[in-house]
Amino acid sequence: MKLAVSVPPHIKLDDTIASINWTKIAVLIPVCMVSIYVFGIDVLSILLISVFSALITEAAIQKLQNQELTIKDGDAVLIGLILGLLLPPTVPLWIPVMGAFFAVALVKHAFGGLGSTLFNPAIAGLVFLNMSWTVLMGVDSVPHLGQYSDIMLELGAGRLIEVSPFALIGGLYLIHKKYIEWRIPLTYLLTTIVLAVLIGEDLSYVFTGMLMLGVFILAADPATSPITKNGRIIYGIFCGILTVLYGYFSYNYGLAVIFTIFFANAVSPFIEKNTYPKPVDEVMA
Amino acid sequence: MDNLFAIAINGIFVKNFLLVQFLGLCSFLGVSKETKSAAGMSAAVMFVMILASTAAFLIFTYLLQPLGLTFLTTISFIIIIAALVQLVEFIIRKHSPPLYRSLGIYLPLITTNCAILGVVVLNVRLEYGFLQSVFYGFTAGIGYTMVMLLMSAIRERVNVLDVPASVQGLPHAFFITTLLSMAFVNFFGVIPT
Amino acid sequence: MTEEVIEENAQEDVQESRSQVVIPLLQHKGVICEPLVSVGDTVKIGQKIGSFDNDLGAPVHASVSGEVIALEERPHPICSKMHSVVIEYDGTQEAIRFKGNRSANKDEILETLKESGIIDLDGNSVYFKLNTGKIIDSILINLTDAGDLSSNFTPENIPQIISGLKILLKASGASRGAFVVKKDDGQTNSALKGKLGGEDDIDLFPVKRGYSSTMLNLLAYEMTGMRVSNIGIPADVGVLIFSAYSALAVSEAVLEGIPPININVTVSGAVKQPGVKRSVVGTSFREVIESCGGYVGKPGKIIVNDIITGIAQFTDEVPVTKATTQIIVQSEDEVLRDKPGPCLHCARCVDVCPANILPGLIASQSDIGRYDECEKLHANSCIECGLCSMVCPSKRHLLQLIRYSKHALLRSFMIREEKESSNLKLGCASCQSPCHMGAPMIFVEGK
Repeated sequence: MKLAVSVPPHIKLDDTIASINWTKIAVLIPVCMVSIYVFGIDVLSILLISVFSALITEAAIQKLQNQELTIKDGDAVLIGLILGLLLPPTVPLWIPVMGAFFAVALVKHAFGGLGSTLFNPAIAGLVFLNMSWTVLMGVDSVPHLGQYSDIMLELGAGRLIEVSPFALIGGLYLIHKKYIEWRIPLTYLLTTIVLAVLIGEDLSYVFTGMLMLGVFILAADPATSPITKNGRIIYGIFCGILTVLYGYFSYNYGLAVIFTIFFANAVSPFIEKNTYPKPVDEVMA
Repeated sequence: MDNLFAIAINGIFVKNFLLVQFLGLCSFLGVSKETKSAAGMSAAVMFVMILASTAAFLIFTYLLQPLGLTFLTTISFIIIIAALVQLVEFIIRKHSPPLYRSLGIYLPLITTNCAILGVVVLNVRLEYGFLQSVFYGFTAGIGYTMVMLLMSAIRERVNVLDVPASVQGLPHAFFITTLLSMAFVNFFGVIPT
Repeated sequence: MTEEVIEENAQEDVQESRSQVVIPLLQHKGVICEPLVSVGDTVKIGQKIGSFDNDLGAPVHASVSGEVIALEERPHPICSKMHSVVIEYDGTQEAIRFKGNRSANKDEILETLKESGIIDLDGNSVYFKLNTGKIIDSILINLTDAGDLSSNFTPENIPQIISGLKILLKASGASRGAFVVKKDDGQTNSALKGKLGGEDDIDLFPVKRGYSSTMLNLLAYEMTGMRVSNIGIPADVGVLIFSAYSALAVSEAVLEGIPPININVTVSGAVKQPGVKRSVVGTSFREVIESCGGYVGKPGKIIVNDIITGIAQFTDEVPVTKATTQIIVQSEDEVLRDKPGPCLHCARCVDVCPANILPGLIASQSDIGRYDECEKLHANSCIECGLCSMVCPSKRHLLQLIRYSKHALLRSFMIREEKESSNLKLGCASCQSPCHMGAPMIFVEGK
């Protein structure tokens, strides 16, 4: 009789990297469909090209380095999809290719791959595109939630993600499955709204689909947010303050979320280092 | 650009010496591996910046300008900075030998650190008064410290990451600095100067 | 306990298929016993066959009557191989005379417990736990360990467990006793509430999570609000925690004079009739499983005691010991064979850790060999509950990496040249009795 002698624990939960990433992709699908409805079928080509470039870049890099292909865990698809959703609908089709290449090859793999990314690849890709081809990345309009039905369908959206803040309600499902912890989304959202009200900003410009994407998927991204519980609360508040700060000066709350999270990714290891918890057996001497 | 608050915002954020103006990067990349040496280096640089701004302003306003010797600006500034760096070296070597050892060659290299020369030359070029010069030196030091602390935290986290062998160490630090600079420029560029 | 008359032992379930029992001479975290019998001797049930005259020893008793056929190394469920007494069963049920004492005083109780060698499930003998010299004001019986609960806390055993708790209260001088029950365990709650009506110094203490036998410091913190250091014991804050098995065995030993030779084992998993089986120390796992109808298909893994922290066995010829409560059999496709991936930094392990440390970060530092960083991150506070590895989506071996770093730190302190100086005396062994971490490993012989 051959018995397996392996290390405890002998039972583990079913969640894997693949299940986390594909669930996040599933949460983004409703927004994709609404944006196709609003902007037309060309959006589908932008999204598909972005996803496929990301996949091909990852596959090529892993093959060239003789590593095992990990495209099945959905990480490259997620990066490509988020990058595609952050673009305005009028970009030429080679822009997502360049952005996906930069994001996957340089920000994900040159830094070490899954879990080693210090900056969110999709956001870094968007910032790169914004700085390099500023004219082509210009948006036509800024979302404005003038009436309550705009929460479901915002026709004045500039980027693909801003069409429907409500469509990202699937983020609550991610919290329920414990793929994302509740501290960052809650503190980020609350701080933004409370500060915006205190400053006197019009909330109809602050609360956009971009904010929902940032709150649920970008800021709570595992590799770039602090690991400690208090660190996550501080990170959420920090992101909220910076978002309102940027939006106050530039009146563009969509880009505010992007640049805030990009900068906060740099500050996250500092926050993490200074909020280590006290273990439960630390006895005061 | 005259009042102290605007100088502070410029010195620390909008025109940060390390990430926006790209001055003083060699000490930044060389010492930012550990938080202790990063903090020590930042303290040394801030100290030298404040004193250099003061001394340079005094020398320029009361010695070089009245005597018409403004062509000696660069040389005299470098002499001032070198003297101050020697002073800092003596202090650190006596006070904390481990810190002296961990800073290594980068401590005397503060002499040729373009950030410090940049501060004093900018003070002259922007025609700041005494208080403004000193304050500009102080805020430049704070900006340097802030970026050093952020970078040292990031590089300590990098120890446990799965970085490919060809990228480990300095190339990785350059990549991080690139993205950090992109973040800084894009975010703080929105604040009107 | 004198040796005279033949007496019947209690009815048990695993009798027919047994031919020999293997009784290990070390069944707890202490010192191995010296055998008191040699090959060829005839032993009776309950006869003491091994002891070590020391607070850290726990005597072992024969669980069947028969002839000692060997004194050799045999497989052990926790120590892999251990010197054991092998007794060939002769078919009779000859036992020594069991003499109980219904009105023992504190010293008599302690003497009986020392002679009986009852082991609590966390690896220390009950006598050793009671003999701390610290002031105790409460005694807890932990009913949140799943294996212990299903094996030993049956409706028939409840009066015995309650009397066991009362004996322990008397032996320690504590004023209150309590049963620790999980809040959502309605069955245990109602079973106890009925029987505890008349007792005024025993009550129920509901808790939210389960505490296995390695997490007792945490349970003491939960009850008293005072922190226990990681090299401390619950007695530091005035609490003693025992399992249901200990209460049962204490009651049997003091009131009826029977040493701990009867063990209840829950068998679950891929066997034909899973359930609770009554057995004796030394029965092999194979025999216990056969009494459950045998395996369903080919077994993939056999785990003793707890599915999250238990040890996988390499053969089913290991004996049931005093600290065994559960045997879990996993079929071939239930065995985990995942490949670990990179750390996602997702913090699921941090959210679930009961000791409030950062398991993923400690494991990553341990993986690259930075044990100094592991120490700074309080790796020694880990209570090895295994919950971090259970929730990790990358299937990293967090528990093993943290354990490895703890061992590396321990080794780095142990390998040292012996030097005598004006204030350091060698060989006095005064580190031995207060040490709760494994003193026998550095016990200096003969000095």
